[in-house]
Amino acid sequence: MLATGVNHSVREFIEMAFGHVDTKVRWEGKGLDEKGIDAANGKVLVSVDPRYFRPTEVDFLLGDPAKAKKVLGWTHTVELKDLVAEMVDCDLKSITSKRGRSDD
Amino acid sequence: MAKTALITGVTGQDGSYLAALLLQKGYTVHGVKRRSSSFNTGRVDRLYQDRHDEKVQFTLHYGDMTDSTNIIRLVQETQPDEIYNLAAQSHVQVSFETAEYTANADGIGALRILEAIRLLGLTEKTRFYQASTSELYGLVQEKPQRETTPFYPRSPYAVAKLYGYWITVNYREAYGIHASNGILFNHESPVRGETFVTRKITRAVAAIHLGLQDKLYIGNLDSMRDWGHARDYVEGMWRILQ
Repeated sequence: MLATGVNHSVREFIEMAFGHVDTKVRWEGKGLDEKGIDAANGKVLVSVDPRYFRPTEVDFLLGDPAKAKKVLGWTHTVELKDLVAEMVDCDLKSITSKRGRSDD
Repeated sequence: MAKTALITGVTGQDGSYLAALLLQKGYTVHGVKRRSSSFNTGRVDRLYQDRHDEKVQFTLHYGDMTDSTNIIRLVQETQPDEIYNLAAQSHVQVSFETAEYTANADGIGALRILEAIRLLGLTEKTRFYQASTSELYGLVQEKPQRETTPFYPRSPYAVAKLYGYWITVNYREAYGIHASNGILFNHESPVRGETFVTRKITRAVAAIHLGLQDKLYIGNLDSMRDWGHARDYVEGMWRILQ
C-alpha cells in the first residue's frame, strides 16, 4: 500500500489551490447550495453541481503506509501543499502559452 | 544485463512517470498504447523524442487490454523481465456509464496478461505488477485503511479492480509467478487527466486567476482523499517488483 497517511477534503484542496494564487475562499450555504466566494470581492468562485456526484460515493480514504515503509523503505516525499502549487503553476503556464499562440 | 519492462497504459499519468524512471535506470521500455483518432501520446512525447539518443530504449506498441491475442504477441515479442499493468478505464464516474467495458479492460485485462505469462512459459522470468487502488476500500470498514482492511468496492471501476486484485493473488499462489498488487491511494501531478477532480480544480483556478473562466462547478466537497505525487508512487511500484 502506497499512501501519505494524511487526508484532506476536496474543499480543502480547492482552498489550497486558490490560496496559491493569493485568493481566499469563504464558504456559504450548505449541501447543494454551498458556494465558495472570493473573500476579497464577493464573487462566486465555486458552485456545487449534483451531476458530478457518484451514484454511490466514497467518502473517506486514508491509507496507512507502514508496510511500504518497513518492507520497501518507501515513503512519500512531496507534501500536498507543494503538489497543489506545482499543478497550479503548470496550469497557469500552459494556459498562458496557449493564449500566446492563439494571439499570434 | 539491462532489464526489459513492458508498461500497459504508458500514455497515462503513471505510465509516463514510470517510463521515465525506468529509462533513467537503464531499462529497455516497451509501452502499450491504444489506437485513437486523436493524439494520445502527449505525456510520453518527450521520452519518444529522446529515442534518437541511441542510449534511450523506448518503443511504443499498439495494443488494447480487451485484445487477448494482441497481449500475448506483445509479451512474446518483448520477453519482459517486468510487466506493469497500468492500463485501465481509470475514471470512477465514467465506469458507471461504461460498466461492462470497465470490467473487461480493468478486470479481465489483468487476467489476459497473467495468462500470457503462463502460456508463454515465462512464469519464472517475468514479474508482474497490478495497479490496484484505494477505491477497493470504498465504503470503508476501518480508518485508516491498511492491507488487512476488508474491501467494499463502490463503483463498477472498483469492482473490476477487485477481480484484478484477486486474480493476481491467485496466479501468484497457483503458478508461483512473482505477481504483486500495489494498492495506491490517490496520486496526482501536472499531467493528471483533466476530468479528475484535482486537475479539474487546478485548471479552473488557473483559468479563473487569468480571467478566462468565471466559476468552478464541483461534486462532493466533503470527500476526503489521501493525495500524493505520482512521481513518488511510481518509485514505489518499481520497488514492489524488486
